[in-house]
Amino acid sequence: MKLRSALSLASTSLVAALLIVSLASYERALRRLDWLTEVAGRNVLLIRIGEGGGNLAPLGSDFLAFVSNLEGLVRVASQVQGGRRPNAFDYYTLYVSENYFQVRGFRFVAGRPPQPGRDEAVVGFGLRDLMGRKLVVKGTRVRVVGVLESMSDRGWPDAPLDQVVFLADRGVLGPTTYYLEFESERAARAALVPVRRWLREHSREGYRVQPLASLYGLDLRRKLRDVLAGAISWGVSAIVLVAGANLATFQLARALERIRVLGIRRAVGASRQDVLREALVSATLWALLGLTLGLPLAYALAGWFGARTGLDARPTPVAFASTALGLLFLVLASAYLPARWAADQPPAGAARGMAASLPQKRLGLALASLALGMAALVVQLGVSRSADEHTRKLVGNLSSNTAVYSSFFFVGSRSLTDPRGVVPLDHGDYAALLASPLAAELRAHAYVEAYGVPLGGPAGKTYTYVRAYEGAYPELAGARLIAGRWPRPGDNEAAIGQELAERLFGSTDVLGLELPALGRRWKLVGVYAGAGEALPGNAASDQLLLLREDLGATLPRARGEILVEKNPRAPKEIFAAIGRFLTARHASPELAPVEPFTVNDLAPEVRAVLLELTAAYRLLAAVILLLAGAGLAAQTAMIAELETRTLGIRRAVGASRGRLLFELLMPLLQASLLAGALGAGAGVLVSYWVVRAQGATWAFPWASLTFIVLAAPLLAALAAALPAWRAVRRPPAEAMRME
Amino acid sequence: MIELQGVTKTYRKGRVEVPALRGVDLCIEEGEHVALVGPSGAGKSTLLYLIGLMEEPTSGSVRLFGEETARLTDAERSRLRGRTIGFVFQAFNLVPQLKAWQNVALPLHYQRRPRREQRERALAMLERVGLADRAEHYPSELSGGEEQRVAIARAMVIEPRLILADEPTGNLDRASGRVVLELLETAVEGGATLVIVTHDPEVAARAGRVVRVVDGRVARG
Ligand SMILES: Nc1ncnc2c1ncn2[C@@H]1O[C@H](COP(=O)(O)OP(=O)(O)OP(=O)(O)O)[C@@H](O)[C@H]1O
Ligand SMILES: [Mg+2]
Repeated sequence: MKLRSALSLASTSLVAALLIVSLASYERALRRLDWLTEVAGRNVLLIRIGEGGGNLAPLGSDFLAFVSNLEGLVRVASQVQGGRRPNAFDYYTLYVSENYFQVRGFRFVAGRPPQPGRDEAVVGFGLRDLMGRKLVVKGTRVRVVGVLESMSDRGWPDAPLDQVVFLADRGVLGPTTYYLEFESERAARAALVPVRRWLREHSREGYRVQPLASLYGLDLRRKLRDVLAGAISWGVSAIVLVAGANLATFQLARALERIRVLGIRRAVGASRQDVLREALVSATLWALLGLTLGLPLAYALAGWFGARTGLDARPTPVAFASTALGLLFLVLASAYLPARWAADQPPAGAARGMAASLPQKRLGLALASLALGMAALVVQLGVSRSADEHTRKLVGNLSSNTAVYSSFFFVGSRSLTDPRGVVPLDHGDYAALLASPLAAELRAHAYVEAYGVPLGGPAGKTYTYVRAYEGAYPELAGARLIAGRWPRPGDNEAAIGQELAERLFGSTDVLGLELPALGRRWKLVGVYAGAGEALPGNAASDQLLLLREDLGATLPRARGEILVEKNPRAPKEIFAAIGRFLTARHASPELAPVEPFTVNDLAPEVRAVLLELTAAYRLLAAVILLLAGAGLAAQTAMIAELETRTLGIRRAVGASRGRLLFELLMPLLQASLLAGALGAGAGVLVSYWVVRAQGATWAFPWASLTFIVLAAPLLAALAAALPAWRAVRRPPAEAMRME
Repeated sequence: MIELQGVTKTYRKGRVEVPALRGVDLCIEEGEHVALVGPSGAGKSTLLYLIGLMEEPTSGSVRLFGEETARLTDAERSRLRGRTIGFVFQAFNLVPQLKAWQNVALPLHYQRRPRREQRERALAMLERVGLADRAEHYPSELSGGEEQRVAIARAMVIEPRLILADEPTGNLDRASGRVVLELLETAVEGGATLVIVTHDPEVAARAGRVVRVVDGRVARG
């Protein structure tokens, strides 16, 4: 009695704690993902110097007059790169207009914006020590009057701003960037065409216009947000399902156990309502008690999660309130139906002791609960694994052993985001790397040049990247062949991304067709599936892959990228060492060092959420299994107790303890093996269905599945052993006296 | 005050039908002491449960205190049972999780009596059956005779108009049986009606009337 109550109370509060923690982490993760799409500046157009040269002088008052007539325009902000003096200590500076901080949505953690006409400055978060001090910047003494919030959480495009000194615009000439803020995302997109036209008509093609959000990979963030939100909500539903199944079976078993007692109560005048009310009141108390114990447990669990995964799962009021409501509903619903059933039995039958034949059904219930729990767990495993896989598909296939050295985000010697210049990597760098001792630490490597070109086919035209590669590029970039083969040197062969094939030819059945690009005709020998979003280090599904060897030489406007995979045993420092090696080849104080992009640097702000959640899921899965175990233990305790009398009789007729224990546990072990396998099978099917319904790639951690299917009966045996042992150990005389 | 007319009861278990009662007509007056006797499986317990509103007849009518019980809702039947009928079973049927006095107080609990009154009346009743000192004990800590006295205290605590006892002495020795029987008979002296199912001729002999049930019917004589 006490053991079983303790177990089921423990599992109720564990359910409460789990729900609170998962809802809280769900809420926080969603909020963070929302924020990431928020800070991308969806209603802002960015106009800055692009490729192709031409007149790079600031756009001037004509342009500002034109812009002010655009529909829905709110403000225009500008920023002039001050650069950095070579060969001397200096700060990276930006001259910004008065409303710059407002348009960019940058908040101050201290102080205020600089006032025009005064020698004032604002610094990035990394320079916050300079607050209130006087600096000499570009030969002028300025006073630091404000500090911006940290930009590193907003994603890589803004991260360098933490080290920048912002000065009020004072007419300094330099590469200028304009930010046009509109009322809405729609207004911003609508203005793209007229702005482009104006630039063309005024021969200012050196400037390019694009939505600011595209710099942040807003679409990528949105897609990831959707995938993650889907995965998380499935994770949460899985927990709710396991919790519900557990509570329901517990209540059902309780109702069955009490049916005789209910009969007695009915004999002395309890009406059906009385019986129902009693069941509901006790269930409510139960839920409240579980909730009360669950809250501190949730804090403990959140602390544990936080320490292990960095995931912030501290209970939020919303999470607590929803859990309270949900748990109450679950407990009441699962108490009501069985109580109702028990109350509907004619009291005569109950008083005659008919319920005695029900223990078998109870075992069935416990196993059904195990199967359900298993199914829920497996669904969750499948869904979160698929989410991970899908994300990888979206951002590329970088593993923790790969790094990318890219000049992709940089135009000429100017970074699009970093006020410093950057090293333009080329084939010479790659060759030098391979000739260096560093190459010994690499398992695989590749060099690729990307060319932005217009492509056309019978079904349409598009602007995309042709990638000319050397080395193990498809493997490192995560492109998978779905038809044909990879190109071989010498014959102008190419592999086409499936999305590009669809766009140009209207189908992926394109093997043997020819496609003109970069001034020649390429024979399509392969179709591949790659990433959904072009990022450094991946091959996207809307691109064309060909061999650099066939190209013969680097063409103008190439953007070089070097991909390496280190030997599993090589230290991580190798990545930084390669960066230094490449930097040294282009020794110039004006250029930023070549830094490796690793898996965590790609859309790090979004990936971080995913990685944390994946880790959290692993823990959650373990806890869910624990929960299923607790439920099973509670059920076994109940069965053992109901059987106590029978056990007493068996002992009376000569059965030994060991024999009884065996008889109690063996069928349980077999049945739970079966239930576990059935549940797991159902879970695999459901997860497949769920993932496909969301249009994502289905993937499954089969190794974990085997482990779980084997773990279930073991858990069942373990969970059952204690109560069974207690029941068996009871002296037969005492057992016989139990009702 | 108890009128049964053409009462049948058939238990159904899947395809198998067990006719427990095949048409019973029976009248019992207020204050009577009736013994139901008959071979095992004849339907005595079934009859008792039908009179006690513990189940419903397959056909026929059961009138109790002048009321046609078929018309009553579950709440009304429960109320009638809880306030006017006391049950005593062969297998005692105490609630194992409740102490002796709580078992006795159970009917009062369902009458929504104040807790203090419940406890006082239960303790008084236990005193009358000679178990004042076992009030705090659980059923598993009592002997069979004591358990049955607790069950009788539970039946009598409501001052029932009708006491239904199903082989109340069946599980007890002669001395304990006699104590139990005397307790029931004091209730009859107080004006209650007693219907008692028994296999014991001695017990039957003390009743005012003996009704024989054979094969689901009431046999005359
Ligand atoms: N729930 C039930 N389902 C099926 N048959 C039942 C059920 N309850 C009773 N019976 C059958 O109804 C018949 C009458 O049963 P009942 O308990 O009334 O007999 P009884 O006269 O009280 O016998 P005993 O003296 O042995 O207690 C029996 O044949 C019994 O098997
Ligand atoms: Mg009987």
